[in-house]
Amino acid sequence: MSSIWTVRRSVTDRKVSGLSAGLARAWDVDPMLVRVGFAVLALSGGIGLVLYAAGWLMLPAEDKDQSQLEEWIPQTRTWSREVKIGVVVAACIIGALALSWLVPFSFSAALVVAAVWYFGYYRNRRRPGDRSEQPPRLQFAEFPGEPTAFTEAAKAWQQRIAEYQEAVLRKPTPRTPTAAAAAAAATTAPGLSTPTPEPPDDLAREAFLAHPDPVGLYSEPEPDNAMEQLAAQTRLRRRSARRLGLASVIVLGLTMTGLGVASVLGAPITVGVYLSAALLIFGLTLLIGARIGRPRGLAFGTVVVALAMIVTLFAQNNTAVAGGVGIRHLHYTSVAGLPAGDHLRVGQLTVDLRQVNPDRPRSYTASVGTGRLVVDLPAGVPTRLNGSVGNGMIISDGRQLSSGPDLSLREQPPATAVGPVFTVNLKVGNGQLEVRR
Amino acid sequence: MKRRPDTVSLVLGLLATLLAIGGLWLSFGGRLEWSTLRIAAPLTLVLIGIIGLAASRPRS
Repeated sequence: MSSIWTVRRSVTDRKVSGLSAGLARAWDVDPMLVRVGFAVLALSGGIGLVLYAAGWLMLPAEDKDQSQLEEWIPQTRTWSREVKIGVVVAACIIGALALSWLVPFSFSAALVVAAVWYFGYYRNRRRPGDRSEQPPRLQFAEFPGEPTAFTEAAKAWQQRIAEYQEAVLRKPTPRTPTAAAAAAAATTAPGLSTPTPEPPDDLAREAFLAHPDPVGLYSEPEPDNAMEQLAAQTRLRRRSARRLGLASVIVLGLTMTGLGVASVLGAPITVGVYLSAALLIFGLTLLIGARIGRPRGLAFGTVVVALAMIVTLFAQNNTAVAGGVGIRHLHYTSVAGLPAGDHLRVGQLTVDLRQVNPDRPRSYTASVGTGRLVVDLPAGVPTRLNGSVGNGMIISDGRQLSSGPDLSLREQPPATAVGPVFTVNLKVGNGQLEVRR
Repeated sequence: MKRRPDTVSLVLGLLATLLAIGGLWLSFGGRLEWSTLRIAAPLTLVLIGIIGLAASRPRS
């Protein structure tokens, strides 16, 4: 089977982009089978859609030299195949997660399609050395001009190649002894000549083919020491990179094991710690690899782990990034631990002030740029409330007080209240302000 | 001839290492103030860029 990278999208048998027809021609199967396979894969976590889009973008059409992706983003011409495969795998995972609520099947259908393709086609395909498939004969063009030394040499090579090809084609295919004996009897019958010439002697042919310059046109170039040194350095660098990659895998395994043991023993090891530790090892390996050679795939793996770590840290509740993004739950039990204010840029901020009982006048400010701010106020404490919402709504004790732009909420402590006043300032840029008592 | 370091590995390694240290710091309960981050992060990127430029400069 030819490589997937040599497949060209068909321009003659095109339903959408010609990808299915191109694959079917490369695999020598009916295009309808490929289309059905894509449809089943599309229903299996949406993988078919992602793979089809990837094929449309990355495989060029018959009448073009470049793929759509390379036309639109010329920088992708330098991408290696490993990077492209990694992008497709990541897109499949993201697509499956995004479309999991929409498509009816899980990954099981994709596994079934993969199994059918592997056991039904891939394992039974013809190998390159399969004798049952004879190679096409080569056709040589005749040079119309005056013969030169070069054309004579070319003719000699053409003749030798034709003889060799003839010998290969005449090699007997495996037959039963009975059939072979019958054929031998037919050719040695009295009165009949044997028109088929004997194949050239193997040893003589091999000796001729082993000669680099049968008519003396070329001379052996002098060995280039600089190129040899460069090649040796490249080999050494690749070997060092491989060793570094193996060492980093060992260190990574030991680190993960250590974190796992620490987690079992009760240490607070979160997913963020695992990913951060892995990223640290990858980063240090890259720094070493900058000098002795970078292991293959390490840069891509580092980017993936870094993205996963960032997403994990932000997705965790109670993110410690002040004024960042996420969901924060703050619970204050005393005035001593109460800061002047808390701020969240995007997300939900919940502040529990029910146990705060100031012994002197005190103020506290909580704000959310975009999102939701929920505040539990202390009971029995004289509280002055100043709330404002740029655009959104205000809810108090489960009731919606107002909605729209430029909202405000003002409450003063009762005149009969005794004790220091606790001033609470609440601000929401865009979103919802909810006050509970 | 002394071999030049691989700039991509160098820059990516520095970024990954700093990011990992930050992630570990946050995971173990540390706090990262936004006011500090909005100054330190761009400066760090500038510094790493300068290192990358220095590492990739042509040598005679």
